[in-house]
Amino acid sequence: MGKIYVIDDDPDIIDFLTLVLEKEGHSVGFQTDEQNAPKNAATFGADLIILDVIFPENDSAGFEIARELKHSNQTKKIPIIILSAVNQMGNYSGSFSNRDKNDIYLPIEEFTEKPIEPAKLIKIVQKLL
Amino acid sequence: MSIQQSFPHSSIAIVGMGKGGTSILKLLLQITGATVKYICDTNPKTEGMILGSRIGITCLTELKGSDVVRDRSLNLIFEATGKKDIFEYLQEEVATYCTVIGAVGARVIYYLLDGQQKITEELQQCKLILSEKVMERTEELEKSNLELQRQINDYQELNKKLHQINEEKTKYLVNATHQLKAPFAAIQSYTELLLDGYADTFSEKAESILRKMKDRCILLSSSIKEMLELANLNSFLEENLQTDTENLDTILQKVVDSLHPLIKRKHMIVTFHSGKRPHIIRCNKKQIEALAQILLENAVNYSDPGMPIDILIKKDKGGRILFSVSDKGIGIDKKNLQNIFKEYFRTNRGVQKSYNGSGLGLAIAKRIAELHRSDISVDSISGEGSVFKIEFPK
Repeated sequence: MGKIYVIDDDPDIIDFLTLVLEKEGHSVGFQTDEQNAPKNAATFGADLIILDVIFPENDSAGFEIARELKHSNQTKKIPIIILSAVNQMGNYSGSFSNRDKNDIYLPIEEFTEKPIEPAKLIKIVQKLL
Repeated sequence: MSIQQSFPHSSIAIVGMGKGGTSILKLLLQITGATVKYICDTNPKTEGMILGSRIGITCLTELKGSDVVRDRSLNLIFEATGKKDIFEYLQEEVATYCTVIGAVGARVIYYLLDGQQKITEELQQCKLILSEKVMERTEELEKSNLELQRQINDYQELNKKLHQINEEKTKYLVNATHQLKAPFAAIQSYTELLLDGYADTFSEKAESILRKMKDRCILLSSSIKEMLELANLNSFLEENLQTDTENLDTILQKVVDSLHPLIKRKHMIVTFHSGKRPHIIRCNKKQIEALAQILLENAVNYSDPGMPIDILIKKDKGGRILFSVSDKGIGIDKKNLQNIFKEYFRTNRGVQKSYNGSGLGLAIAKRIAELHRSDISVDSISGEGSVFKIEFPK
């Protein structure tokens, strides 16, 4: 069983993920803003991170957090699942992050769209733990 | 060719400065290369003698024993007096090193030179007019060039603004769609939690209602997802499309594999016709996957169970790679063919056959084809089936 850290601004999504994952025996920690993600995830002792993309103050916060996590020595080995309402097709991320149109090459292990069915979530988490 | 170029460097004397000699002098003065060194006449007051002395030519009034017959640098003497004895005297004195042209010859040469001179003058006049005209036209051209440049700048400015507006619009649309989709995702997730028994069990009736809620959730969120996709696709330009060299056969196989559960559920058989050689194209893999998925899902959704679907991949005679998806489904009425790629357009029979559609799939497919500078087309007979074809550029 693993420790799963969720970074998502939507408390209902955190609620949903917690319900499903805890029933599977995982423990879940979370934060609802984009601050200090690497430190928080490391403190929690995360084995896996589930990350949202769009935050209220920053359209591409998730992409930036993913990079921060992979840059930090404490968190670079932790697999990341992006779970976002934005889809993965094409260069969609160019619409969100004007800084970097190469955002499509994200340093993440999995990209999944919301909503995710409980069974699919369980399967992906199992795969990455 | 002008006189200036044809006349050799000559040192010249003119003997007899009456009308004829004077005319020859005037003409020679205009010719580069002809140096009149001496003029000679017993009367120093003739027009030619006065002109010659004014411009520094040595003027002689006595011919016999003068420099005219002693200067060995001379190579041409015009004898313009018309007197035979003078001509003979000159012939005798200078014939070994100098040419003497008598009065008749001098007149002929005068006319020739004069004629050529006039032609030259006319030519120069024409040249002058021409260069004036060229200058006029150059000015006009510069003006219209300037005007053109101004217009280009205006267009560029306008284009930039349009791009900005388009970008802002897209960003707005993307954000608005996200705002819609995010709460919806939560509702759908909660519905799924209920159905999956995370919160106790329900009566059959309640469960049936929950399932209907879930179905409509799926429809709405897939519509929102497609709106978002289309907004994203519309937002970027062909030149920003990131492409790689890809194997089209592999891409299509992957799409068929991903739709395997749906294909199996309807007992359909998908057959590949692609030959032995791989078909390599330059494309954005994710987008071509999405495009193929739309066409294949349509073929499955609008066909009866058990019907075949054929995927053809080939290189045509012109070297273009193309693929097509053929089904034996409901087909499309002729009158609807032109609308089929429009956003939100669905045929009545299409809606009856497959309720869960957003009407955006083919609009997305068309936009992806456009971004790849490819042609998308459809052939269909109502009630018999459809063939959708994508032709990639060479």
